[in-house]
Amino acid sequence: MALKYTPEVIEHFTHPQNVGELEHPDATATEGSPACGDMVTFTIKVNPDTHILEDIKFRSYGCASNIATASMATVLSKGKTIEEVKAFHPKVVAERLGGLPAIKMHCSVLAVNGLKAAIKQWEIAHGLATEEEIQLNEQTIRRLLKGVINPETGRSIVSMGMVNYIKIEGGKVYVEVSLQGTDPMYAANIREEVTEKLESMKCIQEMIVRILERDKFEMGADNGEKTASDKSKAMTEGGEA
Amino acid sequence: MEDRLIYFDNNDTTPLLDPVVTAMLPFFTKAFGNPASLHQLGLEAEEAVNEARATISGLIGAKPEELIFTGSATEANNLAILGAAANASSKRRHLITSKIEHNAVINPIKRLEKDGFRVTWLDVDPEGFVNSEDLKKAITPETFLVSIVHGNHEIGTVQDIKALGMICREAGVLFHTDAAQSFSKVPLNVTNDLVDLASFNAHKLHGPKGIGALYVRGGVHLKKIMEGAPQEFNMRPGTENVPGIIGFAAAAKLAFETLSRDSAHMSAVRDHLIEQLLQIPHTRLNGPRGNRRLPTNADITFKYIEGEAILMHLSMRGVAVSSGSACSSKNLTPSNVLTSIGLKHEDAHGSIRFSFSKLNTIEETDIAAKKVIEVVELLRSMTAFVPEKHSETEGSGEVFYKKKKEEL
Amino acid sequence: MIMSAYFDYLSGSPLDPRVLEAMMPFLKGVYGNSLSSHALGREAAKALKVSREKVAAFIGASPDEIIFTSGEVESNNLAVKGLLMVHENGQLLASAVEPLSILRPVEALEKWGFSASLIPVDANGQVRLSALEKLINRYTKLASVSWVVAETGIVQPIEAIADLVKESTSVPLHCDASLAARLFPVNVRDLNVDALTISSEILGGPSSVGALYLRDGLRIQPLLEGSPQEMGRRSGRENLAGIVGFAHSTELTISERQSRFNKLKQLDGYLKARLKEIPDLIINADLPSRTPGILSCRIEGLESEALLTHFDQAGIYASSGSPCASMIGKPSHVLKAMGFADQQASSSLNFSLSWETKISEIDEMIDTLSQSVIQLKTMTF
Repeated sequence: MALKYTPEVIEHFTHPQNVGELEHPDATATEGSPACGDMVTFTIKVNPDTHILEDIKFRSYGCASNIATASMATVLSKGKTIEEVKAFHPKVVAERLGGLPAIKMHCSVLAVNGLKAAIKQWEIAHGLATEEEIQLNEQTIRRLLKGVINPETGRSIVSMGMVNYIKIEGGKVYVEVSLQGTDPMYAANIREEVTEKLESMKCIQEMIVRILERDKFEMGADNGEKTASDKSKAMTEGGEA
Repeated sequence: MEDRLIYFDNNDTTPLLDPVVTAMLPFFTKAFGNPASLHQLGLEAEEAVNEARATISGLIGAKPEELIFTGSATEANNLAILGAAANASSKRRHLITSKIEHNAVINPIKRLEKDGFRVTWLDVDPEGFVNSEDLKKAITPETFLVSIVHGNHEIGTVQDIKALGMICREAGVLFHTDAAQSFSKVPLNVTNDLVDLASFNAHKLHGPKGIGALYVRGGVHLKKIMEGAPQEFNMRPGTENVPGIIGFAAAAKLAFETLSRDSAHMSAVRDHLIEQLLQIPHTRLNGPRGNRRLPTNADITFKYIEGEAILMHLSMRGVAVSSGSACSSKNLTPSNVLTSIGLKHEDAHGSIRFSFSKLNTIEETDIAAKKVIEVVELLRSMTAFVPEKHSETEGSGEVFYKKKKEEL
Repeated sequence: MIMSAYFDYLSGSPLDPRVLEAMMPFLKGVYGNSLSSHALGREAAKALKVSREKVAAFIGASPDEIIFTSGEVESNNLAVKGLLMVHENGQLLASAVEPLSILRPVEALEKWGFSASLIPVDANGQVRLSALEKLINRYTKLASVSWVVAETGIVQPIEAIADLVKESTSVPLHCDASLAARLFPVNVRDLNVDALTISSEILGGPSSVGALYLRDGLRIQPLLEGSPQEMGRRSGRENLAGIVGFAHSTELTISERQSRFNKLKQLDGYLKARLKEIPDLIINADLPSRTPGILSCRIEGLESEALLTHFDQAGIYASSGSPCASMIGKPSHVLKAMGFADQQASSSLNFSLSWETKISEIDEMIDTLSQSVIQLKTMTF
């Protein structure tokens, strides 16, 4: 796909700001997963008196937009109070970059969510927020799952209507996701991400995540049943440590 | 930006060579007749087309009347697959293909699947080879067509076409191969290799875009996918793309004149680059080595970093490549070829295809390798992907049950 | 053989040298794929985008509504089959004087269980509106009418047809405007058509390139499936040089259309006047609405094939029926639909001109024609 990037995106991609990780961070958070090809980790330092985000660094595994949005997010947030940063909208990051191709908008969401997650960690550590403040109900779970992206459309599994069913019984959560024509090879990734999101809620003691392949994938019924070890013989290894 | 672009994306498309352009030019402005016209200008065009047809069919061991010119290899694949399906009897509603086909084969087959045809998608081995025993077992009395790519567009695997062709011929099943990547790179003789249908195009061998061809063995019947006047033995309507056809033949002729020398050269370029890149830690070559691989193709996974970022940095440093990453595709999904040979998604995302033509040099691979090392180091220095934490991200089974661990 | 006069521009036209010049960088230089991300790929994508905008502007559409194809035949096939095959069943209507690239797909669809009706035309080849009105019903899924009829050059009342189709139903209307676009400004919104075919060669662009306009929101089943070129509606590597040439030819057409039209009108008038010198020559469907530069005529009692043989020997190129029709070896279906007897149809000759045609070419042809007629008439009884 020949994507047209703005000069600002190219500038932040080639010269990313605040790359790396802080040595003794006050908080750390990671968003995304390697399987989806998009992941960003933020480390932050926050002044406990002024609530000013004094330092921030990021690491990125991802495409040009991923790197550029994370870089811009650090630039925009450094020196601001965490209250100001928490009010950021992903669109702001994209706008400051002169816009992103539609298919890459999720990158700005990933960056901003990652940043907010780091702040959340800091707040929890400083007793300013608790995980328990999140009520365990269908709505909060849906909001959480909005961060899970369907890799075929770049949109969340919630807005795609793929979250069929959520059931909560005390600390037990049952989530049913329907693939609805999405390639079942993403089942494992989607499940992993859903699980990761749910794990972030401390109040969940037990979870069942069920992925329904409503439409049988066209590539054959025995899809994806090989084990990973069989497959690794597949390639000629070069310098693999 | 470097002075001179190093173009390593020749599996995608190749530059037109000057002699090819020169051959085409008169047919744009002077000999512009319609081969269907009965007058002299039309006859001249018809003769030129016939000569081109004889040239190309001769190079693949076919008769001229077995070659149909199309607008692209995609069209040739669509015509072969949809045309064979439309012509198959109502009792033969099964076809077989592999999991590493090009979209131009996958998508018409998926359309047939929607229309009620049964499809077997054959697995491939870790190097991308179809197992001929698997094929033999998959054939049923209902099977009308087997379509297996000759040279794979991403990992360069060259199938043993004759072995597969033999199985199909013995079973009385049509055998189609997409030879868009392999044509003029590795030998293919449609008669000796027992192929019934084969797709080709010009722009992968320094010919023009917008022209392809389908070989249809004499006696094999297809239904047309477009209708109109009876051009191309009544298989493909529309006035022939005369300059395109002339360019196709000129390019094919040039390619075959120096085929063995060029193949050896490209293989050397390929292996030289592979060797240098595999020096980089945490890399792997996807697909086979040696002459079971297209001389034009090297596909390397760089772990822990993402393909589009690599591609963009290389592009800025004057090296053009392509990536198997989700980010280079429209729907954010990694390549079906790479996942079918067993790559994890995160490894598919970090895969780069380097592909060569006879114009590339060993020198270029040296320059490119240095730049790749630089880019890989740069991106790895900032990656968020910590290998230990994400060593096993794949699971299987439909239901996943997990007890939350307190220490997490 | 030296060509002294060429009257077969509908079959094959030379490429405008200015268009070739615009194409050259893309024949020799930019060889990227519009779908790839590196610099060359982006350059190719940019050229494709600019070309798409130009072609869209040429017919008053938006760029997303343009699907590039390998020419008129593919555009027509895609329109007719693609728009019908999203339905399970239904009826389609096409005028009886459509080109084979419409009529043959219609026949194919009939075999697949769709019903089809040909809209009858009057003696001049124009669609009978009253017949069309009767044919449209709630099962109609598509109507297809060419704006200008090949062979006779007759202009269809496309707006009246669109009004009729749109008034009572939401049936999409497809129009093959390949020939019309050479002379008429085309605006798909004004015409109120939902799909429209245009093609490059007749505009002085390269052969084997064309486009289908498809109104935004209209569903279509692609003819060719593969990689997601043309927004998934037409797979296969874009003929980039061809597309760039096509786009340039549309620009030239816009700026030169008026002068080309005037030139053709003048040439057509001269051709007609000179043809009248030939005894017993009748111009087929000589209406005011015939487009200049496309003319069909007949000399009853004389086989056009015999005349064409004489022409060929003198280096004069014309045709009988469309070149496609001559491949089939049957009398023109267009003339037959207008009520011509087989013999009348097979005595018809077609002349198609370009704005580059010279008066001397016409004179040369008339000389040969009059001699041939005399010679051939002595042989017939």
